[in-house]
Amino acid sequence: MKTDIVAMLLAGGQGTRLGLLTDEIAKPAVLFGAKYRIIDFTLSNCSNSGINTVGVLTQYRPLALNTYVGIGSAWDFDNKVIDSGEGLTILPPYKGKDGGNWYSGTANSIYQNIEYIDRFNPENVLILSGDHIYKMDYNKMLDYHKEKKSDITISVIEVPWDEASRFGIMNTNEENEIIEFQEKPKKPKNNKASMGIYIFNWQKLKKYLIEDNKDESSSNDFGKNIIPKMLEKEERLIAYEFEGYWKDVGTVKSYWEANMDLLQDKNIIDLFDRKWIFRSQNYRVPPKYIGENSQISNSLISDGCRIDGIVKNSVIFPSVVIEKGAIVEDTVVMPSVLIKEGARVNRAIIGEKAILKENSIVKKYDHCSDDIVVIAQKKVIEKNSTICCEQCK
Amino acid sequence: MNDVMIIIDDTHKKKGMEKIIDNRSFGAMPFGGKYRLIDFILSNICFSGIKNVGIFIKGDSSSLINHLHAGKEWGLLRNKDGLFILPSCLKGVDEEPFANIKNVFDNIDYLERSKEEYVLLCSSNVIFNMDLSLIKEHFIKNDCDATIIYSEEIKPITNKFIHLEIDTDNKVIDYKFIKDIEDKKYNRNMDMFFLKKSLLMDLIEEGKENNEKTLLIDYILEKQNKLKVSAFKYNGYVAFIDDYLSYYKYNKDLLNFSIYNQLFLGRNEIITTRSDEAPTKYMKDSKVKNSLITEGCIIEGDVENSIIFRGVKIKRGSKVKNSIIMHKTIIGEGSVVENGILDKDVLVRENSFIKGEEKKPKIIKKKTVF
Repeated sequence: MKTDIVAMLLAGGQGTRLGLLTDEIAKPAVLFGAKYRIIDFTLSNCSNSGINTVGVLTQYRPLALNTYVGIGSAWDFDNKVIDSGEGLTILPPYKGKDGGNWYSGTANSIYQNIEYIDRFNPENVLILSGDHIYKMDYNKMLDYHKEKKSDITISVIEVPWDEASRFGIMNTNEENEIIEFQEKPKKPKNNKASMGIYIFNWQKLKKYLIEDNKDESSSNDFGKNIIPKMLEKEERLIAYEFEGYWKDVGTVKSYWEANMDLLQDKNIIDLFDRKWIFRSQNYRVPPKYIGENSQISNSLISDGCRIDGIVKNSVIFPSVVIEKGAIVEDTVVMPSVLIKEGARVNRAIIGEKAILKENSIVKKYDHCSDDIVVIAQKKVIEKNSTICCEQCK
Repeated sequence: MNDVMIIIDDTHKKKGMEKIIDNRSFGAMPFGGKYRLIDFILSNICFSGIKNVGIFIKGDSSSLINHLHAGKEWGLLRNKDGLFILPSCLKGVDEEPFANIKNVFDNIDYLERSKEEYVLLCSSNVIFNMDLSLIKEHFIKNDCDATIIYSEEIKPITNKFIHLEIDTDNKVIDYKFIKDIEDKKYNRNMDMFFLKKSLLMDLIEEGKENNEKTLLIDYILEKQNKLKVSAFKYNGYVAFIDDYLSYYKYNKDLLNFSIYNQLFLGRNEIITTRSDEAPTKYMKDSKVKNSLITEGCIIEGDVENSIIFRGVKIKRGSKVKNSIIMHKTIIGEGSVVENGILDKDVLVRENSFIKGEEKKPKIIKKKTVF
């Protein structure tokens, strides 16, 4: 693909609605699916699509993310000699001669990196978010973009009508030209939602970014400012219809659901497809040790675990210990958690290195407003005690 | 330990392993669910700070070389030193065990170019998880010229090995080839030698012309009155893989949590090549007990007392017991595998029956369709 296209991956957000999960790390660095981090999906999609030049825009608590991504070796982005792309570069906000600014919005982060993109002088720029779970070959979208001679191609997906008002809705004609854009409409005319994946003609985008930056009242956001402006000026906007699984894991509930989705047979990303491998920084752990008393059903379990208890409908990260008599159901258990004999947990997300002592119980109190209990990293739950989330005491 | 270089001998004779080794060398032999035998010594090296590693290879080494990826995973893909593959001229199936001096001689250039003061020689088929610096410490503290590393074993499972005769001052005075194993304690040579590189080069120089005496241990012990040759006893867990029965036994031993713990959760992390497999999926009706299972598998049937490698599919209604199932093998619906060792990419069709005996497992070769 060469410098046909440069990918810019927005990974700077906090994801405030993920609560405890993003207290100390950026949303794309959040662990997912028994061995991955959310950003692995977008990075792997880029790598598998043959896109070799990737800028990763970080801002909120980037340490874990930067360390994890590194120079992108895990996704083969460090082969600068062989491939003609420039590999992966982490792009934090920076200071120049005239001072510096935090990224004030999605569009502003691209605006501040015009110099980076200009180095490659690409025809197109692919804007991606680091917080979606999906499998996509971006070549197909790029081919469509070229075929339609589009200035901007926006990937859309059909969402259930009752959820349409949560999204940016694209109204199109038969040629898939976008004629109207409704941001979180109360009365959506359509159920084609924007996925936040855009291919822009670079020279066009650059022009709009520079102008938008001069507008002090702008939020410098793609969805709120750039796209509506382009529509207004009658640029050529095309909708690319994506078919397949796509999940924006923006809330604790949707995050938990997306994990549970991996346990189903249908309607999921096939993690076992060796033609489209989702790569991540591997854990260096031995095979699982499954004991005499274990009963495992409908679960995803990573290596390094020692399982001697009951595990049902759950997603278990590496190095978790689940002792005899413990019962784990409908739960996401993060790395190195220790669940001792007789402990029980149901419909929860257990943070890294937490300890659930003997016979402790994690479950939602009837009066609790949250649907899924989130236990913080390193939390110790005492023997024989029962606990719900942080807010319920 | 950056003044220590290490040479790993992967030219160990394949006699007794023919049924399962296929066209691999010892170092390339899959072990423990996700590793190859060479991973263990390489992981020990990685955490010891040794940066100059040579591997003697012979014959069918493509599996090993492809696995090694130039040592990247173990930090050996570097500008200075790193991993060196050293071919050997040894032909045929050697009867004698290890540290054949001809190997070292054929690669004398490598020794000459290396700048390290000390050499640690070892073999790819001896598995342990140890702090290698303890050996150097012992060597220096006891003012040795050579140190031979051994492990105490009672009634070992093997066809032949070297037993060391050690005196009260911990000096190695002699050795014996043991063929008939009795129920007593042996000082089993771990095929590990630690000595100064300069001494090794002197010994090789002597051995250059001698076609009869080929073992390093002979050259070392011959000079006993001039050299201080001491023994270092390693007290941790050691697995000696030399034939298919010991291969089966040591894999099954990993189902004992104490051994699993010592080997895998010991001082060093055991590192192998990355494979980016999906986390293993346990379907609704799966029943797994007392087994080691690694990533990339889909388990729908029953698994007991077994070791399951990457990417294996165990379909509904099938039963796997006391077996070792290697990479990407598929156990079809309703099949039964008991006391078997199934190599990679085997396809066991529905309702098939593979049954070996506990002391004599049934071995199925790579890519067989059963």
